[in-house]
Amino acid sequence: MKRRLCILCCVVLTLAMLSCAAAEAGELPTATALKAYLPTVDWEDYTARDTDGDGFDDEIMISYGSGGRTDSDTIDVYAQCMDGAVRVFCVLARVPADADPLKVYEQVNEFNDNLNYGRWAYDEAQGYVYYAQEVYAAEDVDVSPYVHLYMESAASYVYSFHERFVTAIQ
Amino acid sequence: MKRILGLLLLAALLCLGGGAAWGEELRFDSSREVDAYLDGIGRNYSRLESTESSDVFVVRYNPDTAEGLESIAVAAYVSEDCASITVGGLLHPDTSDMLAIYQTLESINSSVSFVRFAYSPDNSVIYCTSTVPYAADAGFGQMVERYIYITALAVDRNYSALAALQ
Repeated sequence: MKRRLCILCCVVLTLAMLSCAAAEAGELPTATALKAYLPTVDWEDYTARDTDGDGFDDEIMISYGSGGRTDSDTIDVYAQCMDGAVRVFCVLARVPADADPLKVYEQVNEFNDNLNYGRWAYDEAQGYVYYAQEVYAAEDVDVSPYVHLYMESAASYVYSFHERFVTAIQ
Repeated sequence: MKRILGLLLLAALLCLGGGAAWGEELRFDSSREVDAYLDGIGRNYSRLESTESSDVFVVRYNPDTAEGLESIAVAAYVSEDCASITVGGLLHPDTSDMLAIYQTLESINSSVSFVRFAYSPDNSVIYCTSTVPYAADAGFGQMVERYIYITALAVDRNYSALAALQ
């Protein structure tokens, strides 16, 4: 009887350990949820990528048409999925090496002051200005609708303000 | 008896006056969700008189590290489409070197997530803000509560660096 009980305990513990390991190695819940959500708002044409090589997608990118309003044909908006948060990221424009930093920072601050949905920053070392907004994944909340709304906002801002920014920093 | 009646009347009038904002109807599904969530978790908050387009909630925190701030009052302006969460009028910087102001803001914004610090040229103040878009049936009240807390935390941890700009 004791032996059977012991074997049963071992089986239960092994199964519990295996299920924990599977959960740890799985796709991030934020990525799974976003991939499931996007088709419900008519975005089936997204690109999912595994950036850290663990075998699971952790970055979802939507390519919006630029309509000739930027230097590229598309405005690529990324959702970088993490454990407990998603970061929405999009490049606004490259900044020439000889640009006046005061003019660039004035524009970045103006965006941060007046554009509601998102944070803007200037990577002086790499020479570009970008949009980045982290979305907090509150417990029991599927943040995908919020991530999608921020992605749409980022694309819309870049579409509307790219030309104005490039002109202002000249 | 008259005195007791007088005191009761005074108390009733004070309650009516002080609770004017509380008695105001919340106008949007979004603000009702925020109200219900804050009540549900027992968070202490007050309501200010609504603006033309939003209902206003204020949550106060005691700072842990910010020297010179007695309390951190985070206001959430909840409209039909979003919640704008703000700690306004943090400080008036010395504007003789705008590049230094912007570089300090950039440095702080690089070190925080979710919220941003900005300088308002119209009011000559630095403030902290973020905006949560409204999504129905997606835990909006909880999201707004978390962003209110994160905003307070960001102000608490970065106020000293900002104060150097005065």
